[in-house]
Amino acid sequence: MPSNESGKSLVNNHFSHIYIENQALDYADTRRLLNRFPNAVRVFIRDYKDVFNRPHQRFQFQKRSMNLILALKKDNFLYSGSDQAPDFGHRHFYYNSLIMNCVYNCDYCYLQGMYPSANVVVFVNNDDFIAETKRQLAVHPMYLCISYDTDLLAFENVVPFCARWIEFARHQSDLKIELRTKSSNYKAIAHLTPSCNVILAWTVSPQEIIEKYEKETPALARRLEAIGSAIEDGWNVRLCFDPVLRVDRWQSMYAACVDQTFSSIPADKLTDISVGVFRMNADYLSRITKQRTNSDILYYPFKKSNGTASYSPKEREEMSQFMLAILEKYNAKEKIFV
Amino acid sequence: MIFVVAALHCEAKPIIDKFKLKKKSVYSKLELFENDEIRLIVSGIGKIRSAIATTLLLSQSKLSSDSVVVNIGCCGSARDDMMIGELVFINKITDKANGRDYFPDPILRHGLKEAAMVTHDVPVEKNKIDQPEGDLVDMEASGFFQAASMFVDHHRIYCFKIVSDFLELSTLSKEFISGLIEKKMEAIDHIFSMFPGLHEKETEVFQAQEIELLRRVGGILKLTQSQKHQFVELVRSAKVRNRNVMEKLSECSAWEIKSKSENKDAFERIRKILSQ
Repeated sequence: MPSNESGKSLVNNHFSHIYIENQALDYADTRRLLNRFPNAVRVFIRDYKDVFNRPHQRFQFQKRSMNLILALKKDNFLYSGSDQAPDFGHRHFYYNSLIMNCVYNCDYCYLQGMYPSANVVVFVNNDDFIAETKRQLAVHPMYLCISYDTDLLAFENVVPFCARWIEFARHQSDLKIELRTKSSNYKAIAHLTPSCNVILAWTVSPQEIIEKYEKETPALARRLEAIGSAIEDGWNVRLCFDPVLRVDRWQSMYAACVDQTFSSIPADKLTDISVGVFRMNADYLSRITKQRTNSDILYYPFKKSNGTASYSPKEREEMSQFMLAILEKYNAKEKIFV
Repeated sequence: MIFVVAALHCEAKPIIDKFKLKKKSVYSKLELFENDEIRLIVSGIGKIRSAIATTLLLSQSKLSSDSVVVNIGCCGSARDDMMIGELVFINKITDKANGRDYFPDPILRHGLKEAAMVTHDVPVEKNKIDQPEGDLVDMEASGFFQAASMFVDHHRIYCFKIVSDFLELSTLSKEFISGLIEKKMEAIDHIFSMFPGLHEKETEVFQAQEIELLRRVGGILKLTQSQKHQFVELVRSAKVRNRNVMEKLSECSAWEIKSKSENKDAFERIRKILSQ
């Protein structure tokens, strides 16, 4: 954080300001969030897009002091799953966007290329998301990822979306939800009874990668502690080695990470494991590299194919096979999705 | 460099005096003052004049990644809890005429009261306007912000206002206005002193001698326009990845290219070297 000569921060704390859509004022979550941040300056707005979608914003500058935007989602309560995300064999794969943006700031995150702003939008009409999901469930079963464009568990102490969706999913026999996170904040949902309709999915990365490229996120040891507790309590747990990054000494880093993981996690209790080599929408990557030159991983000589930037097919294959080999030391092949 | 836009000379005077700005005789109809760190223009009243002056100031200046643009002036308050002489950070600007809103990024820890501003086209009187959409009222901010945002990103545009009245439409003397600003010069100086730390100059990827080397190698290799673009991007990527790229490029500057096919081969060799 930038500071002056006396060491005093030059920037406001995160969430020092809350933008509130006029029509979102009379919602319980709005009241909750305003109570949670009583000293925040309130700025009233007509539409969240007036603030969030402004041109000429600097994502990384705003990351120094993120603000909250409270809004109503008016449409697109469900999105069809992206081609770049694994569907784990589910035919009806969807995701939703309860919160836009994340409290963390990973160098490789696609959000910095997808969104014009680093401010965090919370949609306070959660009931409308639930209602639309119910409507879709009446048509066919669903596999729904609820924490893609954010990290809901990291935000659970601010607004308890995880708990709400876990309780909702518990009573929907045709619904399976995935809650993906890097957070160690498992205690925020530890009081809930595990549900077979919920998969808690943790992103696992080597500690060197966490320190260098996953800023603000919990250390590997703390993630493993959270994962261990969730397994012990009886939750379905997925491990996601995603993205795998081709940095110097990547093989030894990931091998050590896998060894450390399975020295503390009982492999036989895991639901499954997902492996994904780094890939990103090429337009997003281009936008990110126009704004920042302080992260070497974004400047790898990626190959672009069908609008996606990633390592060459040969490199991808090498990385996938390597990950598969080190994971098979501890897990059955059928459990590993590459 | 800090670029300041003030509507009236009496608003600008305390800033000119404090920072010892010297008058530049550049424009016949707009006053411009400057020192090594600050350039100030006096725009005249109204959002159109403010936009014109801001445009002139920024278009005639060398902007860099640490440039900051600031509007400072007096305003009326529709809020009774404001004090005359209060210095306020503006977090929202509404153009009364077209209803559009503009949002300066509230990142700087300025320690001031904050408020929303409505910019009107004509002077307004408290009992003659409907419920004001904002806390404060002025005649410049929306024009200033729109013009400034054509030149710099939003996070480098600031609007600070000093409450001069409660919309009574009484005539305020120049001395009174200057006095209000004068009393806040310490706070304004403090804010200005925070800008360099917050808006650091972004480090350029290439140093001057490296740009020269790129140009030389590009010439030796007889690169086409499209290849030149790819070449610069390849070198940029390799440099960010700390691949000792300049040493490798120096070696390439000894190559001799005589034909089109040699050019093609050389470019592929360069691509391989830089992609390692």
